Amino acid sequence: MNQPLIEFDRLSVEIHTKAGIVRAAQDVSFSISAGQTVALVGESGCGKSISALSLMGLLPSAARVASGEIRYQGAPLTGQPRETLRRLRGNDLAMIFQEPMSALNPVLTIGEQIVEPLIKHQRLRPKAAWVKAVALLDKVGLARPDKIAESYPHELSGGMLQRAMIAMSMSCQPKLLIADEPTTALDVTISAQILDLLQTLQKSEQMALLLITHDLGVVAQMADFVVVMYAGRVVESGPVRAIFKHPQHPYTQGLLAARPVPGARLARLPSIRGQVPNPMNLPEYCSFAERCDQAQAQCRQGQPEYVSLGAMHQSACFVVQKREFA
Amino acid sequence: MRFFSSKMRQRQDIALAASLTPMRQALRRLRHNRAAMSALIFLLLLIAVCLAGPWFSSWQLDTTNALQSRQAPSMDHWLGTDFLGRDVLTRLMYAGRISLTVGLISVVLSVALGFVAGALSGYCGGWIDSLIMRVADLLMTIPSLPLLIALGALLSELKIEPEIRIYMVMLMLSLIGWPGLARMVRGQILSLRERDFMLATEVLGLSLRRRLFGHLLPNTVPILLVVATTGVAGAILGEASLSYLGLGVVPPTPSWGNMMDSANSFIDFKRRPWLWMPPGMAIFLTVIAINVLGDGMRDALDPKS
Amino acid sequence: MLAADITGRKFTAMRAFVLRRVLAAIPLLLGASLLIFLVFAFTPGDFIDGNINLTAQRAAELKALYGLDQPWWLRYLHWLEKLLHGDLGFSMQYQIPVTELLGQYVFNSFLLASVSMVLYWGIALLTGVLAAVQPYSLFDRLLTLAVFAAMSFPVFFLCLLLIKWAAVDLGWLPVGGMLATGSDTRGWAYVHEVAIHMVLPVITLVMLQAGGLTRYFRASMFEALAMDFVRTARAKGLKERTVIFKHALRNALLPMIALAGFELPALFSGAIITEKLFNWPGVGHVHIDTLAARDYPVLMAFTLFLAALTILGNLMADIVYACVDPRIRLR
Repeated sequence: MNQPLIEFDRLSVEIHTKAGIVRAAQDVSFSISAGQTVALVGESGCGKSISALSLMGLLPSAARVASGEIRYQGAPLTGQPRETLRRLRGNDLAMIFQEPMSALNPVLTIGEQIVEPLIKHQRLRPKAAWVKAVALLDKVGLARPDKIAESYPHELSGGMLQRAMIAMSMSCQPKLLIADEPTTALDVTISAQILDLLQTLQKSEQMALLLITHDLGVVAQMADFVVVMYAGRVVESGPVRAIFKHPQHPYTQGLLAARPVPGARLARLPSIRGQVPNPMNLPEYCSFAERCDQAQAQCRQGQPEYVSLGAMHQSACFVVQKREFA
Repeated sequence: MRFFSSKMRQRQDIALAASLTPMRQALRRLRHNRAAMSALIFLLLLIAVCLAGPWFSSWQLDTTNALQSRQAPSMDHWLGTDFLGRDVLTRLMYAGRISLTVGLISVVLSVALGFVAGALSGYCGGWIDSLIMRVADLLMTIPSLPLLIALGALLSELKIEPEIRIYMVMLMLSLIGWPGLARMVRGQILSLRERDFMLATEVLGLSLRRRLFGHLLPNTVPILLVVATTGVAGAILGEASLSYLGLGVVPPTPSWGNMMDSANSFIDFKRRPWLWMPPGMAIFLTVIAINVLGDGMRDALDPKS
Repeated sequence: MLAADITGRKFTAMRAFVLRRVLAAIPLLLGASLLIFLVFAFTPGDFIDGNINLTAQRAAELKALYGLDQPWWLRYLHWLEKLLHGDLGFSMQYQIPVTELLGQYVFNSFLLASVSMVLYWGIALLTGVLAAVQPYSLFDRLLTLAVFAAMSFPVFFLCLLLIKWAAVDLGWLPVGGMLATGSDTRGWAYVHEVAIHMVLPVITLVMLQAGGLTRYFRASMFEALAMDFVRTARAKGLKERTVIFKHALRNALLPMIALAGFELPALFSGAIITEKLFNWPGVGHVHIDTLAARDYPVLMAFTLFLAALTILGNLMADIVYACVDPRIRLR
């Protein structure tokens, strides 16, 4: 198999706060191949966004990579000078965010914001960049793109803004697009359109997509590969079919079970009992143990190792381990 | 049994939440702010010295001694004596009482005024709101120093007794201070009113009074406290400027501002800095301590910034 | 909803908006004039009472001459009518029209105010932005301390300390005034002389005003830097300089515009004591001097001048803000 585009290799990120150190991501490992769509799934605060931000080199100043590394085309990204990362950002690696309304600068027009990376990275002249920006707006399905380019963010709707954000991120034909909950702030119908657009662009531009979401429906529709995170750790990862058909980790099973299935009329949707542990004070053992119905004595005695469950599918759980090697 | 245990859990949760109300959290953060705590201790010490100091002084406020006028600082007179032979340190402590009291009371007055006006304005709306806000606009239109000067001149011309004049100065300062506070309280109320928890009180069918006093106004108190604290600094500065110009607290009542009047004589200014430097430093240090404390309070209330 | 229609519509809306604001300013100005008039009208004692050299008869004659024997509301209307004709009254102390008197001194005040304003806006902008970019750094902490110190000085104490230290003890700079006594320098020598005399008053005003403004800039910039669009700008791979100065600062400057409207009038009134102590021949100094003589026409005119300047400043700030911020709804 050829070299993956992005590799997360046992990445750990710590956030230093006044109250103590938050271990936001621990030993996160997975990889993204060129043109592949990887979904990063988990509850809010489980370390999805932090992992993505460390890939972009955009960690908040209180956070730092404690150990492990991220590689881009085989070369390490973490620990590189800021300038190197800056050149990659917007050029090879692009990112779109949850709230298109606040992610765009309110006092600059859409066009002014799209031409910036074109001028910066592709050294286009302002006029040529503007023409390209309008073309990009057209490409993401916005009507009257020339007018859109001249408008300010507050004059457009959330869906239009997210399209504009996508146009901006696509401007330099990135190898990877990170979409951090791109549809959470949008209406359902708009959100479906945006996902369609992302999928179309991903195919036509041959780019990889790292989709951060907590919506399993979106995952099923979009992803090739799924990474499930819980309390800063990857608990299970594998091809989308394997994860949805044969979830192994109790947390993944719980997530899938809690999904409403059209047609099925249950008295009550199952839920995972208990609450996410305090990230400031994570246990030294499996952090899901306290909420796990299948937990055993061993589960409170240490961190489970990854168990390989067939092609690319692995999970970190003592119960799975026992079952597999029994 | 299960029922009880869950009920117990609920109680515990409520107790936990109560022990960590935003106000308590803020207080805890404030206690960990070293600068703000030093400022607070300094202010408490200063107040203690001003209140208790004169008892330990061997000099009286108004004992004049022509033979010992304009003496440089010595063991007898730690900060020297003024042109009437009065002990500067003793006067400084008495002046501190006056200046601090004027600052505090005028802010209490303007906070009371501003709070009531702002609350009325923000909650009633309509013509009451317009009326109060127009009056506030009007008062804010005229820069405060010229207005204070005009009012000070008015007091002088009315030949008001120095003892009563102090109260008039407090009133003047609060007159300047309340419009800003009223605007702020009104703004807070208008924004809080739109928040979901106020909608919830409406849905619950609580009476207007209950919603106003039980839910809305308490939420404006923390920020009001901060503004009031820095307001004291402003009032002390205002009183000092006014008294220095001879339009605020006037002799024989000592205040830090009017003690600096001695700097108006060039000889005293040049040769006898003990006459005007100590009151100046007293104002400066007091105001800086209040500002640091106020800033610490603001930080404690709003940990984001 | 798109740009071209918006520019057209915005223009019409803008005109209506400006008109509405101007109309709203008029009652405010009238109210201010009435308030100022009342304060002075009810102050007993005036220039004539204060002059013990006058006989009772002469005093009564003068009062009739200046209209001081009429009821207050008539005097107010009379005063207002004259104001509308550009007549601010007659200075009893200087024996010239108030407009002429203020005209003679206002330039000096404006000179002092504008030089200080340029300086402290520059200083506040630079230091505020630097502090916001590295919050809680050593620089930020030192700056905060310096700002608090500067903000906590009583004006007159700061003036006195500067005079004592730089002018009296060290003799580096003149004690006060705008020119040396009896000086008749011309050309560049004149400019130089004025500049030397300006150093201390400008330092005073900059110290007093820069502190608060630096805090505002820091807070505003800090807020802007925490916005999502700053992260977007970084995600685009823009240089940190571009992120800070193009994306964050533009947004941080917007709320500062409203503040700018208050600045000039605040500086004029804030300079009253400074001008007095440095013996700077400006309107603030005249204000204090005429106060001692109870020359009410001058006092009233100057106070009204400041109020008008405040209203005008706010009006300008509103309009500029509406022009600059694309989001503003013209209500």
